[in-house]
Amino acid sequence: MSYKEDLYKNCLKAIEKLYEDSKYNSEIDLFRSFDIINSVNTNQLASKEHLTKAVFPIINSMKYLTHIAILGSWYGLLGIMLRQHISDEIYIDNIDSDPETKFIGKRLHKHDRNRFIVGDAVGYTLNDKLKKYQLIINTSCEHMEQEDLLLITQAKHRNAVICFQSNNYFSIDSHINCSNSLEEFENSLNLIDIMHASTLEVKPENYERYTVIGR
Amino acid sequence: MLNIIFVKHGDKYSAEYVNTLHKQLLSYYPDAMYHCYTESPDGVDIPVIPIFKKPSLRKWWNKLALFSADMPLEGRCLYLDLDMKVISDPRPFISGFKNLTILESYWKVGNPKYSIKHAYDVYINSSVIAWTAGEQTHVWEHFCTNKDYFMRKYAGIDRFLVHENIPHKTFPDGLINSVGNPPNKAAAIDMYNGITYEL
Repeated sequence: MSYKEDLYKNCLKAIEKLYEDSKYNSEIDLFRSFDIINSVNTNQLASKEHLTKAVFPIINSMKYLTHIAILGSWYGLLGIMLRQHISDEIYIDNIDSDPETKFIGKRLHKHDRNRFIVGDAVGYTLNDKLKKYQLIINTSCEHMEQEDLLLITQAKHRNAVICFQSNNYFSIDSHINCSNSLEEFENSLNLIDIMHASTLEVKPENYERYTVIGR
Repeated sequence: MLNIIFVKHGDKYSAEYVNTLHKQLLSYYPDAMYHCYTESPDGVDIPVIPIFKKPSLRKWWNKLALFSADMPLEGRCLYLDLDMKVISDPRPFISGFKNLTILESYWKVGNPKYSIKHAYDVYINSSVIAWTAGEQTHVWEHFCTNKDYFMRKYAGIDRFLVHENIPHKTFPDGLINSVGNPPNKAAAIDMYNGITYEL
């Protein structure tokens, strides 16, 4: 079974559990089922596949890689994809401020070293925990304040690789920090060494997703 | 002291909307302190409270910041959306400062289509809100615990307030006429609820 088949199967199981639980507990949040579906929709898969393809040669060229951080990881889709390409020894830490992502994420994929940490990216940065990661990924820069993004780039270990995504999808309420172009996004990160920069066209919503990798 | 507060974010409503509503309310509330919570103070004739830099929010979600402990307000607070036209004296209907008090959407009451559980629809409307500064800080604090999820789940703050079980009361009927819905006879304020109109 491919990882995608496995993922979809686990999504259905997670949704089934939510529904079953909701029959006996009125506090169960059924919107989570819709949220799980959205987390693996065509656009999510395409943008994470785009990132995986872009970062994979860079991972291969890294001499030392034991810890990967994924900030704003939602239910862990990107970590599942990366796991298909990297050693079982490497830790992938999914970090998200939404406490439920941990419980649902664990249902979608089980791997001892795909871990879930509840916390916000900035809190993590200020606690100096970010220094242990050699690769720091953030696929939702459009949700974060610019000063926080810069804080992350400044707080990382100097050799750590940053892999950030943002977009020009301004019409979503929670998108508080979109970029108008790949160039604008690239410049906004103040990286010294740009290793990759690319744009993914997203249809039918008609927006662009930008991926920048560097140090 | 009564504070009357407007929120202006983005470019949908110009400073003229703030100034016009201020003038309309001034005849009924000459002694109130008027404030505009905005990131764009140009042209606004009343004192401005600069919008919080963090967390950065868009559109109506900024209304929730009014409940923050960091909001520089004291005493009774009355919030009004900018797309309002004051027709007559609203004072007999404005009360409930001891609680969080919101409009009831009179045009929805009794219509079962708004009570479908997973649509997260509501029978209230936060175009007018009354409260006392510092006594509703839990609203903002709760929103900040998981704001991105709440903004995905709920189309607006009315749904957030109701479905996150924030205790609230409603104003007596007669305060608002919702333009675009069946009229509420002789209401004090016309509410346009996003419909474009001439000032």
